Amino acid sequence: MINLSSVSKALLANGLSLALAAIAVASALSAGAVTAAILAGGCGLLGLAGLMWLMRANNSVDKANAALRQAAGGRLRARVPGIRGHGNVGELLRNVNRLLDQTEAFAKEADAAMRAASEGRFYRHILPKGLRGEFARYAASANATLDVMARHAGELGAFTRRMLDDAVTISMTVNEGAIANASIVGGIRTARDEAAGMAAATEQMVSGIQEIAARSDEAVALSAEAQDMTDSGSDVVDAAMAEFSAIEAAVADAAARVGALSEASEAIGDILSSIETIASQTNLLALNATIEAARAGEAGKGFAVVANEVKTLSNQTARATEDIGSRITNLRQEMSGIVATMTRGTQAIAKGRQAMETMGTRMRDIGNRVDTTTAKMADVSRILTQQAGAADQISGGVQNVAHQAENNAGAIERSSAALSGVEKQIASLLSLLVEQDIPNKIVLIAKADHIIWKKRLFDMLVGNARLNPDELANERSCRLGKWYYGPGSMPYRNGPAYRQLEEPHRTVHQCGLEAVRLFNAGQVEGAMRLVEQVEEASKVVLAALDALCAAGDCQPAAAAGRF
Amino acid sequence: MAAQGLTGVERRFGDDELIVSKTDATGRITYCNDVFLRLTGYAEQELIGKPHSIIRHPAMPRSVFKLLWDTIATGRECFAYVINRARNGDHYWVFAHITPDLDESGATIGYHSNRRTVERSVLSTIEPLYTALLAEEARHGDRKAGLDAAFASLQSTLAAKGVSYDQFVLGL
Ligand SMILES: Cc1cc2nc3c(=O)[nH]c(=O)nc-3n(C[C@H](O)[C@H](O)[C@H](O)COP(=O)(O)O)c2cc1C
Repeated sequence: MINLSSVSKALLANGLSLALAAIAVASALSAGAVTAAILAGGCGLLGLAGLMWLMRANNSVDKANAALRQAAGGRLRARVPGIRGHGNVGELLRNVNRLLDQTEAFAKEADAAMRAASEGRFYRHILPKGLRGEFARYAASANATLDVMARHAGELGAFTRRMLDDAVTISMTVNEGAIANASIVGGIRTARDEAAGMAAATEQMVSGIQEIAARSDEAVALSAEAQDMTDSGSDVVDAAMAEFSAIEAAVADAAARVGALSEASEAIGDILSSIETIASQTNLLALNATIEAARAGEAGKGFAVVANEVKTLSNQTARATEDIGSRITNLRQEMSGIVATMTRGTQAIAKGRQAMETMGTRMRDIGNRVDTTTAKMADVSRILTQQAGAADQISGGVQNVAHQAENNAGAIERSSAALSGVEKQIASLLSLLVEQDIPNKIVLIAKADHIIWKKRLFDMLVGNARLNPDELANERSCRLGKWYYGPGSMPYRNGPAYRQLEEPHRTVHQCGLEAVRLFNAGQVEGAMRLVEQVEEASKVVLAALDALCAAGDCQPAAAAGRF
Repeated sequence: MAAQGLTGVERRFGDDELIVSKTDATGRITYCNDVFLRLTGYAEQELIGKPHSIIRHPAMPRSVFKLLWDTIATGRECFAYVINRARNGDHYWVFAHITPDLDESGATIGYHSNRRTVERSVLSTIEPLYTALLAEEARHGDRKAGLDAAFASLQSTLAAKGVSYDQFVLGL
């Protein structure tokens, strides 16, 4: 009984009164009191109607109760359906719904606004319209809070934006520095290689000079030898000349003797003709004697023998002289041959002497010349040795330079390594900042991105990195490209900066990719030329990005926040 | 929907009033509040279980409802300026906010809509936009093609302004 609501109690009381009315009707009828019975019946009917209304009211209370129970449990979507009548119970139910409408609207609005705020959309306020009383007041104060949050977020945004600006600037500076380093290292490496080449060349030169010096020393020795030889040659010539003179004298002597001999043989000839004359006269005498002997007959006989003997003798003499004569003629012929030979001999000897003399002079000449050559050679050799020393020093110097260059390159490489640490940190800072809602962020980041891209190309050129063209972003897949060709750039598409960006941006990527391809194919020169083109184009890109940034700042903050 | 039966009479409601309705997941009305009933002129029992399009006005582009359904189907809230048709052919403008109703597990079990009064100034933007969208929808023989074309043109109008749909409607 204690737990029953007043409606239930009323229902109970009504039920009881209905029962009592029924009893009253029954007892009135049994007592014949018709009027009382009618009255009691009317009472009962009224009670019945009351009971029905009460049940309806109870039902409404149950519906309200059910809805409110749900709402009390936090399920604000509950409502009381099918409300009829405009009495206080109907109004009660409507008010339940109105309360729930307000409560749910406020809750949903607050939820949506907070959710939006958590995503940085502070412009999503609680819509105050339609909210009443405290709901409206709470909405207003929540909205004021959202405004404060928006302001803070704005300040934070400005801070983040500045940070991004700075990070981009640092990144660009660091990467430009790294690019400068890379090209210095490249230069130093080339210088080092060239110095090494030069050192090698100088070394070769030194050894060449030394070789020549050695050769000229040899030449000096050889010419000394030659000098000796010419000297002894002239001695020999001199001796030969002396011999020649002796021969000449001997020949002259012999010629004289042959002359004398020839004269003697002529004299013999004269003697022979006298002998010949004597022999023929003797023969004649013998002939006469024979004739006389013949005449003398017998007495003459012995004489005739003698005469005959004499005739024979004279004949023999004649024959002998003839023989001697022919011999002497032969001899004289021989002798004149000898004389001629001798004359030729003396002439030959005279020529020989002349030749010898010329030879002697030449020999002395040569000797003199060899002498000067030797002196000059010695000079040359001395100078060469000095030069070799100098060249050696140069080579040492060059090697020193190369070494120094190596050291410098080392220092710069260390600084590059330090820079690349910074680069990495900046890059990760940038990727953190990219997450933030910063106006123009893509444009800003793109500036850094493109310097980094350029830097990678330089790293490749100086041999610090190998790039694979398939892994490199193109003008559509890079961060800027995605923005450029994506919906984010919509608000910018009508501006001139937007259009100016496309061509150089494409050039940056395509030339870069081509440079990588060429480099990998070993065509360093071509790759370098393309990287220069990338440099040029990227300057234009940066200018266009700056222009875009300037245009972007003119955009409404809400719109700018979207890209 | 035919334009006949429209009276051209605009109905108004108070800035401190909310027109509230709820639907099941398919858009059939499960609840509407007293302001709703007053403005539409329907009795509650005429509306419960009926599709919400019962109060659809022919001046509403289909592409806006597509956007609405696309958005709420992914669990997000959606705002829309809507012109509705009362039972007798009168009309009224609302700024509708539609959200999913979630059960305890977070599953969508229906949708909820609060509607607020519309600033007159807004209509000078919305009415021409809707007229243009309607024209685009009508321009194509194929209903689907018309819807898609109008939807695309809505998207590109927004893109040209550089704003999201939410920013657009909330910014008016
Ligand atoms: C919670 C909720 C409320 C809606 N309120 C309206 C409304 O007030 N007016 C309306 O025309 N459509 C409303 N709709 C959209 C309709 O469901 C429907 O998509 C629209 O009327 C278009 O109908 P149709 O597709 O038959 O052309 C509502 C939908 C939901 C989920």
